Amino acid sequence: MTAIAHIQPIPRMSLRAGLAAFAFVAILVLGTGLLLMETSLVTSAGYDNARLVEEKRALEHDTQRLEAEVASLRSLDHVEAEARSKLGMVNATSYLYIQVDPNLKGR
Amino acid sequence: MNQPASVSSWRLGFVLLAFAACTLALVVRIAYLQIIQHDEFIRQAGETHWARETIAPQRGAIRDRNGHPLALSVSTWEVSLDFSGVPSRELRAQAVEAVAKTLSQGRDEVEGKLAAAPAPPVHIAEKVEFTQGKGLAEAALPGVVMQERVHRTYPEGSLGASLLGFVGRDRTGLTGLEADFDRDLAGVPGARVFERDSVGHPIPLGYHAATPPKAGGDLILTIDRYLQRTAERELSAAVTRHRAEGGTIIVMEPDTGAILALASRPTLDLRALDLADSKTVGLVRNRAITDEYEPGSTFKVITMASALNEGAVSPEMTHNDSGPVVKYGRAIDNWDRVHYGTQTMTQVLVRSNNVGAVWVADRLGPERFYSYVERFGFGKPTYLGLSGEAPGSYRTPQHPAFSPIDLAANSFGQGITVTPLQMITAISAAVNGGNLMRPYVIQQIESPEGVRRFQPVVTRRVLSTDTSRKVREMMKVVAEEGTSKKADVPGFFVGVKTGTASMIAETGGYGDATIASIVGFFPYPEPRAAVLVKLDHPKDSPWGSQVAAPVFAALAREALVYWRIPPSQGALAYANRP
Repeated sequence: MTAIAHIQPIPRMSLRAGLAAFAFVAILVLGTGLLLMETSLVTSAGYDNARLVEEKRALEHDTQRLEAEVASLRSLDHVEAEARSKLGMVNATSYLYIQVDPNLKGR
Repeated sequence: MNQPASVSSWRLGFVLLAFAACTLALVVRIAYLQIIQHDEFIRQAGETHWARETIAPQRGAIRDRNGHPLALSVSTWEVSLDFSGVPSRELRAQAVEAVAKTLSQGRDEVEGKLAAAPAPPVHIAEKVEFTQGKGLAEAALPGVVMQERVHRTYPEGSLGASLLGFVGRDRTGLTGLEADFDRDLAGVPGARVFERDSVGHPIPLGYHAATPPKAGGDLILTIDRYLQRTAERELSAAVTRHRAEGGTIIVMEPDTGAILALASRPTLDLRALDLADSKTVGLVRNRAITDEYEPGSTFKVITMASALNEGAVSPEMTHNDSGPVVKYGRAIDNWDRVHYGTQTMTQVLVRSNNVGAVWVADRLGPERFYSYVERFGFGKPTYLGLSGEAPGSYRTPQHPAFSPIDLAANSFGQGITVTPLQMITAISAAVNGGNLMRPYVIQQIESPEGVRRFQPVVTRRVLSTDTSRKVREMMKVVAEEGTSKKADVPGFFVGVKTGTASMIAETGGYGDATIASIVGFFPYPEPRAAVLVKLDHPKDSPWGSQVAAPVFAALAREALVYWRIPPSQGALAYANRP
């Protein structure tokens, strides 16, 4: 009598289990990818924020400097110097008051 | 041939023992570091890992009543080099190169400063514009020390220097408004805490917390920069012309007590302050509120106003000035030693008659006279809100050292000390309808939290409206006919009274030096400004009528044109009289 060897069939993964495994791996990959992307975005936003804060600070300082410059240009000393040098004006030494009839109307 | 087993186990035991000893030593060391010195290493790690920065707030500006800035803050850099922790020649050269390039200086110049300095850090430059130095600060080169400083700038130069004061290197106000209103101007510093990497840069994903700074408020003054500049220009010219030791001008709005101009000489140069110079200390004080002086004949206005208000005299009432008046053994004479016989009370003021003033004070009596002196605000600070204000002094009948001669001397402004601010506040009360106003110099404070406005405050009513009208009329006549004709402004009616008082010598008693002054208002009959001009020890003429009156006239004329107040018909007719 010949012995017939019974070979146990290798249990094959069911289709459902395979899909589940694939989905798990896919979610894992996707989750990791999203985490990496989020980290990257946060890092980038952090750098952007720091840069913008510095820019704002620099602009505020620029505004201060420009306000000081404007104030200096509008100072009475500067205005007087400009009036003297560019317009040739001098201080009034006498005043002439012209009396105008308040009832006089222009033609 | 094999070793005996006993020798082998002895060696093995020795090695094991050595290992055990080493292990024990390591455990002890680790325990020492981890347990005993735990706190210290935690602290050191924290210092390396955590950074804390203070964010300086923007200091508020000081502006005049129309918003023109008188003092502003601008951030700048102070650049230093400290190579004590930088052994590399290459890094040092790189730092020097970068600093020289940023400051537009030669490399040799920077190296020269390094060589000349005795020890690091070596100061290279200050007041470097923020945008100019920003790149260098961000580069964080080894050995380059960049410190952010707030530099105070003064667009109008030293205008109102003794009033404004100045700030120190630590951004704290040291004198004047900068010190008295430091809490409002300074703001609140912010702070930033963050994790940093091994080279000191912030870790982007690390912990970061920041409290933003709160900017300081802006002070809006009652000062008008045009009038302030005019007052300072006229005062400087008068001090130079008469070789005076100094002087003061105050312009006040009589109806409100708002100070429109407050000038003192000598004064500080805010653009070239040298705090190491001992002379600077002497220039710091605001003479208009700290210095007391005898007002001389300008005080006759107070004496006359008090007597008018009590009905003791009237402008037309007469008395007979027949010669020096003798009081308690001492003769009191007129400044010109001339006696005019019968004269009205208006003429007493016009001629600045000492004998007449004594007569008026006698009619009033000491109780009522000193009651009015107090009610006019003398002997107490005005509570303007600035530190260092002097109260002035005089003796009342209740004072143990009071002498009856004091009443006579006080009636024409001797034996009593006042500050220029007290004097102009009292004169304002005499001409504004009779209300003593509390003087003020801050109009409002504008801060991020809101706006605080300061309103005029009536301290008390001193005179009736009718008395005040009479005082204005009498002072107008003084400007037209009296010793103060140089205070006259053609085309306008003004009211004045001059004064000349001896200065008290350092050795005690009166010396030869005088204080020449004038008080007045313009225009008549509705005063827009009350003015005090005071010159200390003029050398060419001692008289207020000669020295101070022209300054009043020049200032009044400028102010009237500035305010576009038309000349009055009556005054024009008076000016054009034959």
